[in-house]
Amino acid sequence: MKKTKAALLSLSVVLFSSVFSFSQQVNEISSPSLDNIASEAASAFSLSAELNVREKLSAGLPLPLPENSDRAQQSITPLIEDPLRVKCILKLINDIYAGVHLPFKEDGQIFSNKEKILPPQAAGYYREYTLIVPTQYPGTVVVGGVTYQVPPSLSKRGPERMVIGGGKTIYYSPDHYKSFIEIQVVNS
Amino acid sequence: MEPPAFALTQEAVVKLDGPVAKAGEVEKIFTDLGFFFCRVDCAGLGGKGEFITAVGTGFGFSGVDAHNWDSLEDSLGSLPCFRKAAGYAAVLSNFSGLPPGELALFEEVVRDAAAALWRNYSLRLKVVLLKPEKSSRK
Repeated sequence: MKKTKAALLSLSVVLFSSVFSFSQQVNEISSPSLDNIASEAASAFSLSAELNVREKLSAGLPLPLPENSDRAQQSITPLIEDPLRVKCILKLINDIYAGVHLPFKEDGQIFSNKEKILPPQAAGYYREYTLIVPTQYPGTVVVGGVTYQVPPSLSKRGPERMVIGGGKTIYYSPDHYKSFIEIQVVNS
Repeated sequence: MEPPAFALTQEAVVKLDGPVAKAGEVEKIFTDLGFFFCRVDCAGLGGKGEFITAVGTGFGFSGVDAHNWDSLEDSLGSLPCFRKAAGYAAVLSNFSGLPPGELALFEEVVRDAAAALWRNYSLRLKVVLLKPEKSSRK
């Protein structure tokens, strides 16, 4: 899906570049009607990019991080009292938004929210991601002053998940969808 | 001998009754196909929580892997992360004590998990619901 969208975007860029290049060549022989074509093509490309953004948001897919985001200064609110776990969460979030290939096939698939612990939304609004933490981590995590158990899982994916709603609202679940904590990435 | 059609279709939830609906026969069908197979006897279970735990135990999940519908769906949809097999199947019996709404939700969980399992791994998940047998004793 991501590859298809990326391919479509690349194709749009190539097509626009071709039209733009062609219009430049013909403009040299002064053809005002082709100016219009180039203009329409530019508008179409802009619209296409906008639609791409809308499609991603409506599908619950994350958008790229803003260019001014400073990864070195990032932290999470509410406070997670485990710097190494925070590091793992920040890396996963950055990887998701940067479109980095994630290790599990389940990463990025729809989270159906059958228990309705999260606010009910249209199908496909929530996406799930596996949070991998080294096994020597303690069996509890304190988030915003509340202690959550992180029980052992028999799956290679472990029990911790991130869920992203509408491409923008980020939840951390330390206990495999029993608890959800909305978190925000902030510059410290 | 060819396995019966219900074992080969994409339909994740199969409801059986009649002579073929014997857990042992169903088990042989799926183990012959190389599937991981488990039996879940739901007799005496006290509701949704115990039902989910029983199904999770059958598939070899820990408590955190299957404690509510969302965790069960996630674990069923990523069964290869627990154990390798050519497919995964379970037969459930004596489930009539489960409220109808919860049973319908369980079937939805199985179908969604089966779709994810097929999409990600091209492997099938089948859950056979054995309808209550009438006493054959004379």
